[in-house]
Amino acid sequence: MTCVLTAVAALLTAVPLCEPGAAVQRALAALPPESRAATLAEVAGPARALREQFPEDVFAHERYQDVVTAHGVEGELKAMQAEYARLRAIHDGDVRFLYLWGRSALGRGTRRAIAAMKEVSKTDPDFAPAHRTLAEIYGSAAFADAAGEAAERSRFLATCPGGTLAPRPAPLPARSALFEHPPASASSEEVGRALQADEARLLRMRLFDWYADAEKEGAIREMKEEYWTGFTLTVRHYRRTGQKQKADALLVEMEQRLSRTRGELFGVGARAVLGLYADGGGREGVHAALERMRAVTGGSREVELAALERAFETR
Amino acid sequence: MRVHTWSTFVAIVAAIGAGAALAQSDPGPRGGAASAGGPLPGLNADEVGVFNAAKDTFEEIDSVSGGVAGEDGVGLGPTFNSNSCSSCHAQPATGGSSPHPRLGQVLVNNPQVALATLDRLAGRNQVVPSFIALDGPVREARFIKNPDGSNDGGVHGLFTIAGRVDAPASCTLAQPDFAGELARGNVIFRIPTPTFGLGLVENTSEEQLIGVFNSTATDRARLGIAGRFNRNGNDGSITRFGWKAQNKSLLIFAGEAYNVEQGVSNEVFPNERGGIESCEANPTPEDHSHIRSPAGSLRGTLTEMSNDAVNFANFMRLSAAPRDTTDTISERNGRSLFNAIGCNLCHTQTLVSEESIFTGQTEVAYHPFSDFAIHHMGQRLADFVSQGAAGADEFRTAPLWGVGQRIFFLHDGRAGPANGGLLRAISQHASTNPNCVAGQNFTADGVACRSEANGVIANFNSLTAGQKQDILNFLRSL
Repeated sequence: MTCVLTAVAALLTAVPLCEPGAAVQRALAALPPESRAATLAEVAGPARALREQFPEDVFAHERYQDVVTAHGVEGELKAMQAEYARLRAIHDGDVRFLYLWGRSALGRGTRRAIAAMKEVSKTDPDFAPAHRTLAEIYGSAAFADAAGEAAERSRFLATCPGGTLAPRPAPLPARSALFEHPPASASSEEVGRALQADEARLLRMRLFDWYADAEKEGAIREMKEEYWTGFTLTVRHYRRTGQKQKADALLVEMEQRLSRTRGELFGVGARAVLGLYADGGGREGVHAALERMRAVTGGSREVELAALERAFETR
Repeated sequence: MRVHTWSTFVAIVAAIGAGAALAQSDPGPRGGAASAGGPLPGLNADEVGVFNAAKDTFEEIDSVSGGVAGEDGVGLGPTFNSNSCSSCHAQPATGGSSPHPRLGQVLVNNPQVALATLDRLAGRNQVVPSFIALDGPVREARFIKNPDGSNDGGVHGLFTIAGRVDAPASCTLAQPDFAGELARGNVIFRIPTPTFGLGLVENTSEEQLIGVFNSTATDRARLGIAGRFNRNGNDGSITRFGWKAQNKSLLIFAGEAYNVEQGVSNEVFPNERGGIESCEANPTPEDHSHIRSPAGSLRGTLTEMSNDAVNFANFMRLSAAPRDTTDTISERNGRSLFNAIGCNLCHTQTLVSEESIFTGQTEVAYHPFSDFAIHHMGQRLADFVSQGAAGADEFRTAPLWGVGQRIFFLHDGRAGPANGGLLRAISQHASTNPNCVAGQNFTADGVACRSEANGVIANFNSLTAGQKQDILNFLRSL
């Protein structure tokens, strides 16, 4: 039975899968543009409809997978992988669904995707999408394999001359400009939106194995730094707009957060807090805050605090 | 002369509430230093080091992403009741129970109120449910029934991550309709149980629990007290942690609470709650053991390599029992009366730990004032939630150690500074269902027609005001 299905699948895939057929191409071209910040719920509909219209077309499925990968969060990505596991089981012996199942793990369990692509290539050495996907994976920084990339690219191009590869991973959105050059006029709403955008960027790293643990940790550290800047901008916004109570409450909250801050970020947070006291009340406020910081840290941060004290005295 | 912080206030409330000249009153939480919060006495330096490091983890604050400044933990939500163990287990020290802004040692607001606005985007604040107040107890809410009428009993988080700056924009999960469920009488509450000294409880043999329990059988029977142990459905062993003694071990207790109260999936409870795909922001389990230490080594300290749930369990396991200060004539008299009227038949004073892997913890006598059995408390306290073998009105005998510095009492925090505190807690032990007919012992939903504590409370009520006061003073010395 499996042999028969495989033979049928082989017949179905006899045409090299280099690009979508005309009908699918037209449908793909008609899809509405997607905002990068859109949620999956906002953009999945058209791609899902396309897949339903062409349920056995690899390119329609790829488009759907790409939309989920670009916009989905953990639960949605997991659900997509589970869906393709089901489809693979339903279409047992159909190399296209073996391929699509493997591809659904791209960037999530990339080693599993590699194994699946190799299995596809073994079953059908002319199945171009598997060579394309392997070349893309080997071209990534996380799974770099120059020889493998060259070999798979060459196999792909042999079947699909002029074919193109996608960069893996897709480039991340830029970090919010607000924190690069903080404008004095930033509002609390702008700060919130910028933090949310950068949290979304962080999420697109956190969920994928394209990024090494060290890169992810670095991104988390940068995110925390942004929060300190964001809190500072927000306190200043409250002060500027006459919301003293809110400003004071946030400053107290910042000190509480600082008491729980470890490592190099302590200095970042302490500088932010002291800067706001310097803005607001001058030397007395700075001195009192420094004493509270000394009490909380029990002398373990004296070098940094002394340096900050000197820096703020000379301001 | 002991320092008590609410005695005057409570005396006024009690007098007004009773409409009579009530001499006895709850003196309020005992002042002075916290009677608990440190490591077990006798531990060696390494073990104390583990306790302190585990305490840091217990105090860690969780965010969704771990990227929020000062909130290093990862995995908050999708639903949650708080963002740190220590925010709720706070009074009189880390590991305890609900704090209060004006009473006790820590003097902070109910931390749940701030969670409606913490880290929220503009216009995306959530609603503080009506049963949560700045000076009220920390609470979790459980629904008795599902919409289809079947039994629920599970915890429904007060808040969701929707609208938090670090939550996926795709998450739009609304808070439960607490107002509607309250109107339908479908909500019950639980407050945090203190965790001090629980390593001693975990390390007490079943034989001893059963032996001590059986030794009081005749006296209990005379007062109408039955009781039984809640037991694990797999190995049949006694479970002993939680309001209904539903959890077998401190690790299970910690893992369950981490998942239910903070929404952090972990190696004990590995799945995200709720099944809302668009709100699941992290791979699961969010809390897990570490292959590498923070320094990148395959070797590290116990705390570094363990998951948070193990650290929470170790913090509880190594935390010292509360120290009592029973000393005055009144307090000592109160202790005698406590035993004479039969409180001690369930609130067992002394147990002894068995062989321990920790230094100095073998055969330690400790004083939990609990038999760790469950008892039918009748209609008044019934919450209609079953956990393990414990049914609608069955509750574990609440351990009274540390009660001297607690603010809120009973499983739902219904007794507190606003209504007489301990005195109300005592009175709530009694319950007689007027709808039961002669000879009827249980209602159709398994609630006892008469609380097992009725006889003891009748004894209490027959005491003079001065004797009652002695008992209250004794309790506040624990």
